[in-house]
Order: sequence, then structure tokens, then C-alpha cells
Amino acid sequence: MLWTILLLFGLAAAAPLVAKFAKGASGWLLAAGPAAILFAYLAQLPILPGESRSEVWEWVPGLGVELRFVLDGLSATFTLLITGIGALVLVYAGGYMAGKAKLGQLLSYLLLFLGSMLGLVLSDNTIALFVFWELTSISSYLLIGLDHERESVRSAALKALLVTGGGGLLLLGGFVLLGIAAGDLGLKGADAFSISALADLDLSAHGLYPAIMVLVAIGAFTKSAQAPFHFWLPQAMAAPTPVSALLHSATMVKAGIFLLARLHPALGGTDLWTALLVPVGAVTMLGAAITALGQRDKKRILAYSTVSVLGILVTLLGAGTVVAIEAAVVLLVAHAFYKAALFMVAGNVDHGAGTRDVTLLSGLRKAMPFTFAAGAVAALSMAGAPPMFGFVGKELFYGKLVTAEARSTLLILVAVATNVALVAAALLVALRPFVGSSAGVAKNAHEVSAPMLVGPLILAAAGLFVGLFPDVFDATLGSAMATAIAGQRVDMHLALWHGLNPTALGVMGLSAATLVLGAMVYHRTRRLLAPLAEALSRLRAIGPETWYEKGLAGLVTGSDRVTRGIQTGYLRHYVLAVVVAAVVLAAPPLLRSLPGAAPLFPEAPRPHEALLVAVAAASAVAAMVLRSRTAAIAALGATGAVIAMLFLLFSAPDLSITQIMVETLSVILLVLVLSRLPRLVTRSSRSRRIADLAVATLAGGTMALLAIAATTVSLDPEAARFFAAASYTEAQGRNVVNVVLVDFRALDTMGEIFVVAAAGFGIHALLRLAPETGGAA
Amino acid sequence: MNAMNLPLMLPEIALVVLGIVVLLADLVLPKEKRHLLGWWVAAAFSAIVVYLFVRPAAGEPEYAAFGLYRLDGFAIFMKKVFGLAGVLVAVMSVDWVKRHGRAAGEFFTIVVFAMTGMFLVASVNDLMSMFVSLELVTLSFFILAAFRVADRISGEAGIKYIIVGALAAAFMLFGTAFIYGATGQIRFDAVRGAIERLAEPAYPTLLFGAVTLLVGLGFKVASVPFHVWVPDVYQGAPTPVTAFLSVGSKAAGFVLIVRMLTLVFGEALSNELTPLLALTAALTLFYGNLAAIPQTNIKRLMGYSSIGHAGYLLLGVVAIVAMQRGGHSYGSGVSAIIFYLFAYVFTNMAVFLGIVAFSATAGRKHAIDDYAGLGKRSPFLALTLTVALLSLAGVPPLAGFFGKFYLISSVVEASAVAGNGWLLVLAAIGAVNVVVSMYYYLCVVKRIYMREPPENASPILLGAPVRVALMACMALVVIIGIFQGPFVKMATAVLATIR
Repeated sequence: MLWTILLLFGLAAAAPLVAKFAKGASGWLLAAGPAAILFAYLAQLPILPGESRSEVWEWVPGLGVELRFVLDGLSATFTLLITGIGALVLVYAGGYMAGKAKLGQLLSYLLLFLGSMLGLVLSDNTIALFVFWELTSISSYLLIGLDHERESVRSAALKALLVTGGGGLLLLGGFVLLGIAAGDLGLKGADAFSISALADLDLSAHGLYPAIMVLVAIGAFTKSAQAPFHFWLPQAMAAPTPVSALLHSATMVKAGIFLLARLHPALGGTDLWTALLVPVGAVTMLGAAITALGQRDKKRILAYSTVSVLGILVTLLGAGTVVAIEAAVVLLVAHAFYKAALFMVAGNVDHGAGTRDVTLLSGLRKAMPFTFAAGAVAALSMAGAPPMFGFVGKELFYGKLVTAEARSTLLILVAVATNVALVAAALLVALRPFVGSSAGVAKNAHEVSAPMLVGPLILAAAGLFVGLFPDVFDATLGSAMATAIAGQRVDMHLALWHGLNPTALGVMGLSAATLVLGAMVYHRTRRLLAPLAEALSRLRAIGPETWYEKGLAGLVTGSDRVTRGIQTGYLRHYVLAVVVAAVVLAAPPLLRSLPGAAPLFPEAPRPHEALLVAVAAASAVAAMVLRSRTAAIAALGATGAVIAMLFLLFSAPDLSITQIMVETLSVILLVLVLSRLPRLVTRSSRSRRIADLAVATLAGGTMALLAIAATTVSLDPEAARFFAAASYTEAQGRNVVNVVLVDFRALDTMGEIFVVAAAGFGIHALLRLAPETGGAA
Repeated sequence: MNAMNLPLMLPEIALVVLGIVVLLADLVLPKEKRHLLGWWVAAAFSAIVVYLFVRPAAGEPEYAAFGLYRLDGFAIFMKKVFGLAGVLVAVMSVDWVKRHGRAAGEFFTIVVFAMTGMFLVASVNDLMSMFVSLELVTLSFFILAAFRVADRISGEAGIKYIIVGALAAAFMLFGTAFIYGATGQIRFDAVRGAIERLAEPAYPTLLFGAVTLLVGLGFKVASVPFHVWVPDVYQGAPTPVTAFLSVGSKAAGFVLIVRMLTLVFGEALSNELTPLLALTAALTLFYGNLAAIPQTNIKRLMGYSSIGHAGYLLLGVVAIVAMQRGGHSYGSGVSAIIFYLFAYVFTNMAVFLGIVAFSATAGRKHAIDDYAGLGKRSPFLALTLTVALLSLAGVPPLAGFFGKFYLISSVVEASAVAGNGWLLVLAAIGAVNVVVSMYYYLCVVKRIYMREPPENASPILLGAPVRVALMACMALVVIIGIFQGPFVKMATAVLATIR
């Protein structure tokens, strides 16, 4: 199975070249790839319920990530839909973009997307699944952003990527937790990330289950455009039509549904599962169906109706009963057929008549007969009219509701209302543009080229065929798919006609009522529904899309403000930050060391010592308050000098000399540097100075603590003992320091002399250089 | 351990000789040919890397210079990474040096000395040589960052770098002094031994030493709040230097952090250091990634991004420290850091190679808006930059994604092992920041592909060496992501030599 994915990626890389040389035929040529894969998988049919074929490739040893591909009823159905619709879309795209410069790019991205999607549905390893999941997000970003000359397209592409990509990361979080939980329950290594191994575990009892469930559900909701994450999908209609036909019918948006279906055996069947999925799905299906009617753009109507159908699928999976799963299986396949066909029809109408606005379109049936035929058949399926596959699906959907317990009365109402709206929407997109007066745009309309007709006609015919012979579907794939989702054996017996029993009659009554009501809504009350749709779209102002936009804008301005606050560009602020942070980090251990420190004053200080300390303190204070810069430097120097004297008093003459030299040198340097600066004036505010004082106190206090803590250190006296003992016997010297310098560490001393000499040469060279370059160095 | 064992230090000796040769060659070469010294340096670095590859792999650690120098698998691995990065830096510098004319010999000499410092950092085995080696790196970078002194921004960057850097070096020195004070030892293994026998009263002193030492290292790796120098220096320094800095200083710092935690501190400080480091990691992640969003200059953006990546690497550090508690195996943190560093170095190099190549043709333009329409001006450059940026953003299946994945899962594992729920929060912060970072990297990609180039924009021309280097980097970024096996095995093999 790996080869099929790699083949698609390889074709994606080759597509720009193919488009360059084959031009108009490149769509047909490249479609051969997915078509070949389609037939390869068709050859594997039938797949029996419960059967699964797998293949494993090592990928990331040690992390439990492997490329484990599984072909069972669920993945086989998706595989066929993806490659089949993919091939048709490639052909269609070849016609749609014929002669345009971006054709190669479009075909390449489409193939990249197909490969990722194929990988997603075949993966059994959660981490590998996530990788493909994000790849579909990235490639759909490229696809949606293809016409990037317009700002709205760019923001739509980014929106789709951030929402679905971000949801994907939550999903990854869920998968990691799932791996941990599976590890706790006894799965080792790669098995902990293998979905098929998870099904046997009782995950719902694990403490992490709620977190896993929420993360996985949000991941699926973002991808499958469930409220409140649905807003990216209608915007994504900015993409070229072939892209919408592929992404928004059978593939991208179904990935979330696929994930829920795939994980149903492992995670489903709990109250939390139902409580998360059913309300979200119900709200989405009704809200989106009504919103669809308020749209004028054919593609947007289709987009909202897609969201609505995805809501129905989520609801069905949430219910999780066998009938519900059968209904989901049928609806999913039916929707893939008719929605891809309808998107292509919308593209054809756009191409042939120059607009997608349903209020402008009418009477195209003569100019575009084939498009009309394909659209009409597909719309029948969407409306759920017999004998289409969509009808079978809706019957099952209603059947599930009617047989369920009483609490679903509300759900039945929601479902009927949704379907009524969908019927109206189907008529709106597939009937309205073609009937009526052919006076307006229809006058100049023309039928589109063959590549653009193949797709919709085949797809519409497929929907009709499966509707007429549903038992072919359940024998080859349907039962296996339902089994894979349910986690138990399901034998589907689909039929157009369920005989005469109370349930079937009830269901048929609902179906008929839906069709009639839908037609009525379409004919009469569209004007009444328009305000409702308007009100819904006004809800946008407080809806998730607004949060997204405000959040994004807030992120940008907020981070700008934070950055300006911290990264001022002033060196003094930087130094301040470093000092404060270091002190805050390092002071606590110092405080802890205090109890172990030697007593501060082992004996009372003598008067002259006290006097010196007082002088040092006074000059330090003076350095702070003095207004003259030179005086401040002098005061600072005085502090150092006094400390040198203290060293002298405590019998450390060498240290004292060093201290005097360092102090003198730094005073000279400071005077030299500071004398070039402008006069000292108070620029900082009072509060600023108080803050500075606090920081100085903190830093100074830490240094004092440090000095005290140093007394806790008891150095290993061995070195001192060694040098004291050996300096006379081995080096014949009585001054231990001298002996260490010139004898024991003679090589070091020599190195130091060389360093000093080299530095001297360097300074000499610099001094000679300076006049020549005029100080520009 | 008690022998000079000079042959072991052959690469370092070769580097010192190379530095002197380059300096002297600068005297005799005619002025217009001096930039060609860059090719010498690139060739010499390559030769050293080749030598490191063919020399028999170190089984047990070997020691030289009486135990001050330790050569183990980790050291060899890091030297290879440093060396390869050095080759790329030399390649991208040649053209820059040619254009800016002055002091070609000195530039490359200092690059060689910085490289010497990094090689030594990878092999140090005692506190003093650690400080000296690291400062050799930092001092070289001070000079390189301010190399265009006449340029106001470069000069300002240099000054800021030096002053904040000096402060950090002082902290580091304090740290080493106090660790020595607490233990009476400077060689890593001896310090470790002393820590195991440490008397209770000396413990706070050791902790203070460790914290201040980590403050100093925090400066090198650009962790918040010791990152303040990064944006200005990244923007102001010559671009090849920024590239070198972004991988050299950071990798050197992390090598030492790993060394200190695994060879020196061990379990002793785990309880105290875990919350400190976790907090630092969280702040670094948030700040680096959020502050990158409003940036308009690509070099500055890369500066903030490098802070963000320091945050990710710190996740691995947190995992090590947390897992040391109770003597658990901390392997996953170390191997995650090794893997990430490896991927990061080449990804970042690809971006900077791209920036250098772009500004060579387009003039010194570093605004992100200048990259508009690059996809049309140079499809190859646009593709490599995009792949590298996506990898930095952590988009699967590129190298960067798996790097981040390893680091985050090492924290998750540490949380389970150490029974510390807060670490899960940290892992979540890491994941959230992947989304944030995706935004600003994509903003660059968006300009490359989704905007039109300015009127009268010329195609971007790439020299053959830059093209080859870019191709190599991109190939690595993709290959590391897709063919994990050999690289994971490599990281594991390196890990085995570290203890």
C-alpha cells in the first residue's frame, strides 16, 4: 500500500514538468496515476466484514512510530472514493485551468493532497496518521491559496490552515495521551500507537479517557467543520472549483468523520462520546442547512450544505447504534458522489455562464444540457429522492431516529428541518440555474469542454447506480465498512423498498413530507427564509469567526506590545533584566546557606576597622548622591581604596596591592570615558529612581550574601600543605608564592608572559595604525 | 587519564595551526585575493570533518591533557556538527567578505578560532577549561558581530553583545568558583564524586554555583531572560556571523548544559533545578515565539525564532533533570536534544544561506516584505527557504517536526517517571507554541509565494557553491524527517557514550 502513496507523491513532483510539455492533456495523463491505484484497490474487492489486510514498514524505531497500513472496509471505501474522485478531479482540473500558467501548480498540489489523504485513511499508527493529517492541512493551504492575488484568498487559506492545523496539534496531544493510556493497559512499543490494537482495550475506564476524548473530538471537529469551528470551510470556497470538488466532498472534510469512525471501536460507546458528538452534530446540521439557503453563490450554498451533512454524520456516529452506523456509511458515500458532482456542475456553470450567483442564473438547460443532466441527477440524490443512493441514506437516517428512544423527538424535528432545507438547497443549485427564462446570462452561455463533463456525469451516474443496486455496495464494501466502524459484525441489507410495516411506513411518510416541504420552501417561502439566514449571518458578529479574527489580531498587537516593552533596545534595560533575573534565581540558595556561615564578627571590630568600614560606606553613598560626575568617581575610588586598606590590615598585602592597582586603573578609565560625556543632569523620574534603588539594593544584597556564603566553603587544604612542604625541599625557595610562580607553575608563567608580550605587540600595531586610517577603524 | 595524549587533540591542533596560517597568508596574498582564504578554511574544515568520520569510533571515553580533555561519542558527534556548520559558514562568508573588502584574513582567522573554541567545548572535562573554551567562542563572536564597526547597527550590536556577555561571563565564573568551593575539585568526574559525598552545609553553596553557572550558559543559548542581546545582535551582525552565532553559540551552550547535568550534577540538584529550568523553558518558548510575530526584519525574526528554539531544547534539559530524580534513566531527553540540535543546525543554516544569497543580489535588504514574490525570482531559493522554514515551524514530516516531537514526548515521559504533573503543562505549552510559531514562519512563506515581486525585480542569482550547500541542507532536512532510522540510531549511539 505504501507504493500507492509514494506514486502519488512522485507524480506531484513530476506534475509541473508534465504540465509544461503535455499542456492540455496533462490532466488526463496525471489522472492515470490515481486511476491505476483505484483499479489496484478495486481488484482487492470484495472485502468481507471483519477482514483487514495490513503491511508494516519501520519508520521511527524507538518511538513506536511505524508505517502500518490497514485495508479494511472503512479504509477501502475511502481509498476508492479518494482515488476515483481524485482521478476525475484531475481530468476536470485539466479542462478548468486549460491554458493557464498555474495548471502545473494546481495538478501538483492536488496530487500531493491525494497522497496525503490516502496515507491518512490507510494509516493504522496514530502518529503516522497525524503526520498525514497535517500534510493534508498543508496541501489544502496551498490549494486554497492558489489564486493568491486577492487578499481574501490569502486570509481564507491561512484560516483553513490555522484552524485545521491547530486542531491537528490537539489531536496529536490526544494521540500521545492515548499512547500513554494504552501503555498503562499493557500495550508495548508500537502497539500502543496502533489503532487496531486499541480496540481490545477498555479505555473508557482509564483516567485519561475524558482528556483523550475531548482532544480527539476537537481535532475531528476542526477538520470536519463542525460548529463552532465551521467558519473556515465557506471561506475556503475561494479555492478554484476543482479543489472544492475534491477537498469538500469526499476527502479533506471527511477526514474528521473518518477519524471518528476509525476510533469508534476504541473510544466510542460511552456517554461522553455521545454527549460530545450528538449536540455538536445536531447544531451544525440545522444551522448550516438554514444558512445555506441564505447564500447566493452556488459554491457557498454547497459549502454550507456540506457542513450540514457533516453534522448529520457526526450525529449518527455519536449515536453509535448499528442502524446509525449503517446510515452514516450510506450517507457518507452518497454525499461524496453527489457533492463532488455538484461542485463540478457549479464550476461548469461559472465557466459557461460567467457567474455562480443563483439569483442571476436561469434557463441554462438548453445551452448546457449535459451539465444540467449531471446536476439534476446529483441534486436528486442530495435531496434524498428515490431511486438515488441519497434516498437510501436518508431512509436509514430517519429509520434510526424513529426506532430510537423517545428523547430523540427533538432530534427528529431537527433532522426533518435540516433535510427540508437541504432539499430546497438542492433545488436551488441544480434546478434554478437551468429552468426558467433563458433571457439573461443564458444567452451567451455555452456548454463546457469534455474533460469538465466526464467528472460530473460519471459521479452522478455512480450515485444512481448504487441507488438502484444497493446490495452490490453492501456485499462488496458496505457491510465491511459498517463492521469496521461498529467494532462488531454488521450485515447490511440495503434496499430502496422496505416493505409494509409500521416503521417503514413512518419513515416513508417522513421522507415524503421532507420532499414536499423542501419543494415548498424552495418555491414559496424562500423570501421568508432569507431574513432568517440574514439573522444567522448577523450572528457572525458574536460567532467563532469573529473570535478567530479578534484572537489573531490580538495575538499580533499583543505580542507587538510585549516585545516593545521588553526589547526596548536600551542596553541599560538589558543589563537590568539580566541582573535582576540572575539575582532572583541565585539568591534563594544563598539565603539557605546563611545558617551554615561562620559568625560575622568572631570578635568585636577594633575602632580603626569600624572607622574604615564607615568611610567606605559613606563614600559609596556619596557616589550615589553626588551631582558632579568627577566627584562621584572619586567617591567610588575612595571606597575601593578603603577596602584595600582593610585587606592590608588583615595581613593580605599582595591582595591589597592588586586592589589598589585595579581601583586606580578603573578610576582613570572612568574619568577618561565619562569626561567625554555631556553634563550630568537628572533625566530619570522619581519612580524610575526608586526602582533603580530597589534593583541596586537587591544586587548589592546578593553580593553581600555571596561574601558571607563564601565563608561556608572549606577548601581542600591539601594543595597548600603540599606547596608549603615542598617549596623548600624541592625548589630551594622560601617564598612559597615565588616558588609556585617560577617553579611549580613555570610553564603557566611563561605562557602568561607570552600573552602579555603579544598584547603589547598588538597595542603597538594598533597605535601605529590609527593615524593612517584616520580613526575610521 | 594521566597522560598528555596529544594525538587525541589532533583536530584542535590542526585548527590552531590553520588559524595562524590564515593570518599569515593574509599578509602575503594580494588584497583582491584575500577573500579566497574562505575556501581554504572551508576545505580545511571539511578535511577535519572527514577525519572525524574515518577515525575509529570512540568506544569508551578517551582522555588527553591529563584528564582535562575528554573525547567520547558525544564530543565527536558535536565536532562533526560544528565542523559542517563551519563549512557552510565559510562558504557563505566568501562572497560577503569580498563585497565588504576589509580585513578578510582577520575575519576568517577569527572564524577558525571560534571553531577551535567550539571543538574544545565539545571535549572539556573540567570547570576551568570549560570557562576558557566557552569564552574563546564568545570573544571571537564579540569581534565577528562588530566586524563592520563603521556600520552603526553592527557597532551597536557588538557593544550590547560585549557588555551583556561580560556580565554573563562574570556570573559563570562565579558559578564555577562556587562549585569548586563546595567540592574542592575542578575535573568533572572528581566534582561528581565530591558531590556524592557532599556534606549537607555545603549544599546551598553548590546549588548557588550551579544556578549562576546555568545563568551564564543561559546567555549563550539565549534563554529568557538572558536573551536580551539576541535580536539586536542577530540583526546587526553580518549575516554569515549571525548564522554562525545562531548555531554555534547555542549548540555550544547546550553541549555544556548536557555535560554539566549528566557528568557533574547528576541526581543531586534535580529537585531544585527542575522547577527553575521548567519555568525558564516556558518563558523562553512563549517569549521567543510571541515576539517573533510582529517582526518585519527577517534577521530579527530569526533571532526571536532562535530564542523559541532554545525554549524547545530546554524542554529536553528539563526532561533530563526531572528524570534524574530517583536515578531514572534520562536517555530520552539527551537523545532528543542531540537529534534536535542536528536537525536545527542544518535547517537554520539553510535559512541563513538563503538570506545571504538573497541580499547578495537584492542589496542589503532584510525586510520580510523584500521577500515578496521570491517564488518567481528564484524558484529554487524559494523552495529551499520554504522547506527550511516549515521544518523550523515543526511541520511534519520534516526534520523539525520530529525534533519537537521527541523533545515534547521526553517531557511527557519525564512527567510520568517523576510523577510531576506540572511537566505535562510544560509539554502542552510546547505544543501550543508550535501553532504560534507556525503563524510567523508561514507569514514569510506567504510572502515568498503569494505576493508579486516588486516592479523591475531581477531574478536572484545563486553561485554554484551556495546552490550545492542549499541543496545539501534541504536534502538533510527532508531526509532526517523521512528516514528516521539511521539518525535515531546515531543519537542513541551517541547517548551511550555520554555517561
